[in-house]
Amino acid sequence: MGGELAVSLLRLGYLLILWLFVLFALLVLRRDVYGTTIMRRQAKQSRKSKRASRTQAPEARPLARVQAPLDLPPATPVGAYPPAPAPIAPPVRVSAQHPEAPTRLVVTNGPLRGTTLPLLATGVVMGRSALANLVLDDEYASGRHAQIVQQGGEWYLEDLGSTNGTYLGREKIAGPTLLRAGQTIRIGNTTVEVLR
Amino acid sequence: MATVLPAAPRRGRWAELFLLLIALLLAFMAYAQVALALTDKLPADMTIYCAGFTALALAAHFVLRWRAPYADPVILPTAVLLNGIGLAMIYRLAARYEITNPSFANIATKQLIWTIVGVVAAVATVLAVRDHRTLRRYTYTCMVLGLVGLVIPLVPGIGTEAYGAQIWIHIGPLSFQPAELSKILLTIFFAGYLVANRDAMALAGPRVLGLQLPRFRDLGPIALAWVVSLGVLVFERDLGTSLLFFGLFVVMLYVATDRPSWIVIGLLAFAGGVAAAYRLFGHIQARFQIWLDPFNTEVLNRNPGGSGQLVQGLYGLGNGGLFGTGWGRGRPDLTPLAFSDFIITSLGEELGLTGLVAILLCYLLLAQRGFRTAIGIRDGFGKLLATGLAFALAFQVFVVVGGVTRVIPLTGLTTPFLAYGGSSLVSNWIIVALLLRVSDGARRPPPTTSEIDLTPVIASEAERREAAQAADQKATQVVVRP
Repeated sequence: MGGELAVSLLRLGYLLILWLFVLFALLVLRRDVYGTTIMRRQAKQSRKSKRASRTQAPEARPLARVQAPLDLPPATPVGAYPPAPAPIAPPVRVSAQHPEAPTRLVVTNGPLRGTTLPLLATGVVMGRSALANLVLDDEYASGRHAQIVQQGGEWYLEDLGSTNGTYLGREKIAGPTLLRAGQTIRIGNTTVEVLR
Repeated sequence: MATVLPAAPRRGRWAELFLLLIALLLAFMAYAQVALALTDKLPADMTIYCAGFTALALAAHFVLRWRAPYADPVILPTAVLLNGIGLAMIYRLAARYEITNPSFANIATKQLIWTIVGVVAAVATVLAVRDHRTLRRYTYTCMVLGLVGLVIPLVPGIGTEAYGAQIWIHIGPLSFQPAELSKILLTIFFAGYLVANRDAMALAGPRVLGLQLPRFRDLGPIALAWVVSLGVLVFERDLGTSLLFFGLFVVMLYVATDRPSWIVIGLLAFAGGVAAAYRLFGHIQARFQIWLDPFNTEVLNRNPGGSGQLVQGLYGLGNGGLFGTGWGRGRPDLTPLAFSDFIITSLGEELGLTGLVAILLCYLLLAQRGFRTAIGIRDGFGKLLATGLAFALAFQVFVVVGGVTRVIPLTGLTTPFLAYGGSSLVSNWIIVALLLRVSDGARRPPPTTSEIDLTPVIASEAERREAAQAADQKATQVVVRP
């Protein structure tokens, strides 16, 4: 009878470990959130407090940046972001930066109104193409319409040969144009504000 | 309204190692339990088998650490687990065939060799393909090679017929199913072709009944796919491969264009093809009869083309019940071809429904990681490639498991990683390697400023004018970025 018992234990134990493998794999996946996280924008108050915390503790930023999106419950990537003032900073920051240099973009008009996007060190491409960083759902925008790139700690706006042109304020830009915080970029029906 | 933030992933290499160790433990436990059940002692080569398999899996793991550190942590352990379980089941059947059917007695050794070849091929793929986008350069090369692979078994002298399908080629002592590799090559071709032409397919064309129909000339590739898969069906009598290719093409067209009309067109075309084939070919009618009425005595006893195999498989599943008979304690060898098409019922008999569901979940995990990779990767070619490969894997499982459980008519496709068959094993390992490569690209965070050279991005106005003049004068292409 001992033999019978051992056989049954081996048989059921095998199934148990098989299921443990599946469960561990699911646990790994549960923690594996990557890509673009979209969070619902907070009330103005909490955004200001975020900005405040960012200016106060610049050293703590990179660590917090990596952690913040990953700590989100993966089941609810949209919405339900805890009201705690988690610092939201661009993922790649450059040390030598002009004090007036912009750090992020906010879409203030157009179909994407309300979307904010950090300025990435790799540059931000705006356009209708799915490969753009800011994908504009705008009939007047070109596939790769304009880009914002960094050079020597400054950010430049540059038109990528679009059909309808890129406007900075009221001026249509001709070449790479220096960007300052507070300026507005207009592409087709979309207005993007540059913020510090 | 929304804040868009790129989130950096965990590399997950330690998680991968942990899962890999559990997968190896399961593979060795299965092997030991089979031997214990059949001979009451551990197999003599247990240590060598364990050491060899561990070394192989760890080698793959360390190559990933070295060359694809951000690759998905779940894909490799799942593939190793499925391969290990398949090996144990084939070893178990081979031990039985030594008594009953000596012509199949060496399948375990062969499968072990093919496993080594497969893992080496996967490692070589990860090492050789440093960036999946380089594959896009070989779009049309892949198309030609893939079509050649599909057609070559028909060449007399090279191709041979077995089990009613002419899909094998023999070169010396080696036999190979080139359609398995064509699957990968044609996925690369379709990804490359569609990423270049999807706008024309998605946007041009008339609108009928709310469906955006494509223009007639854009139907070219799907017509080609239809003709080729029907040709496979007619001349090679391989229903499964034909189904796989057609499904693959339709799904990739749908993903590339986001137009449901492709699915409608694809399903209608396939229904038409199958209806015609049903009328024309006796073996397809037989397949449908087996599916609908397997327990009919007339269908059961017909030879060839009876439903005996399917019924044996179903009885095997029934014998397994909820928790199975345990490794080595059932009689899966009673089912003909229990090591290839019917390995799922063999596993269902010895591991029960509980084990079978866990195995199916492993496939689900593999497919899900493939689709997740497709969402995460930033270039269109990578998206289509990962979608196509993951779909091919998942669809094969659906066709085989659906076939042996009487959800759909039984067709000859191999269960990825589990079933006996060298070409299938090698090509599935290559699929896994490509998925790992694409997922490494998908999860890798964007490079920091120090890693990229920004200087040529913005040329000064003077430089720009100079370059433009130079271009005009020499009439050569000077590319001014952007």
